[in-house]
Amino acid sequence: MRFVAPGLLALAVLIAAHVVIWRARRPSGEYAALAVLGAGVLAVALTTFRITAVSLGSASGWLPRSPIEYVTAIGLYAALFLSYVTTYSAVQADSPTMTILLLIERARAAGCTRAELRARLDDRVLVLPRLDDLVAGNLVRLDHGRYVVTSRGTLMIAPHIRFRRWLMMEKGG
Amino acid sequence: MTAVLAAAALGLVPFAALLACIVAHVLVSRALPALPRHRGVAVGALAGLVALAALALRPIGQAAAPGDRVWLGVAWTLTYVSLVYWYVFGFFNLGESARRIRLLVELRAAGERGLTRAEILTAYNARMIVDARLGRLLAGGQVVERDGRYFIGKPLMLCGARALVLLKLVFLGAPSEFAERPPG
Repeated sequence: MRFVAPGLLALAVLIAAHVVIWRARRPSGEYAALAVLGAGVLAVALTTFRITAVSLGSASGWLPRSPIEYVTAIGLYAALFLSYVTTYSAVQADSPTMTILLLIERARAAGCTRAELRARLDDRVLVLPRLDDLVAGNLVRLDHGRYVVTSRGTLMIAPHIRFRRWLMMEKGG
Repeated sequence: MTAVLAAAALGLVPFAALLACIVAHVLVSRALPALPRHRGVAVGALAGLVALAALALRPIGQAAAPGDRVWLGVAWTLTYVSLVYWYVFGFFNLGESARRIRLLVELRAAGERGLTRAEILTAYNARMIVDARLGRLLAGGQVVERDGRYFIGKPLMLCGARALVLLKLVFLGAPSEFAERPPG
């Protein structure tokens, strides 16, 4: 248990803190704030584990003690954190695929035509909010009516472009 | 100090398995370009799992007390599975279907001149997005077409969509990002 429980417990604390803070006041730079929160929870958890292990004595069987137990717990927490942030990104912005499924489900026995889906999901719903996100995140700047990618945006997109070239795959989206 | 370094090296085992997964995914994608993408990802994930087993068996036997061996194996497997989840949905799938990434690709290709809103919407628009998504949903059987109308097919992804709505309610207090400002 010492290898698994600390990572899971730290993730549970992270999720609870995330929900409470985001419901109270959603930060503007969500992912940077989430990264800071993730690192903070890890630091607090490690300190608490250290103190609790000493004070609980033999009852602290589920807490990490040796270096390999600490390293494994940190590795597990880091991996869970990455998958948690990945899941949260799907919560933050509406996914077109999921929206299509929900619209078709809402139509029930009548079903939906392609034209009805296109009418509900136009550029104002699917494209322009994401363009606004890029500008708000300083990945793109608006220069006299033209959208220009910033150095930060170039830095962010470069690994994706290179990786898709390795995979020999065309532009996604 | 030696024990800490040895522990740190062992802690990298699931991350090395992820690297094996990515390398296998790239090699399979290049060697078999016609292979459906989800199959290429599955081959990569399986290759990583094999690498994890090969890398972990010996250290688990040496480093952990007999009672801890199973838990160390569980921890590394959980770590690996979480890393693969991140790789597939947080990295590979971003390049595959994320709108922000596609917009950045278009804008980067335009260079310092940039693009107007109209030019962007010529290169990438809602019609293309809906058609591409519908195509994938039909190919995967999540949606079926009858007489020009679409209906739910396999319900698994719909359950995922409902779960996301639930999470939106928990985190954002609304079922959609447009809940307070209706689209259109």
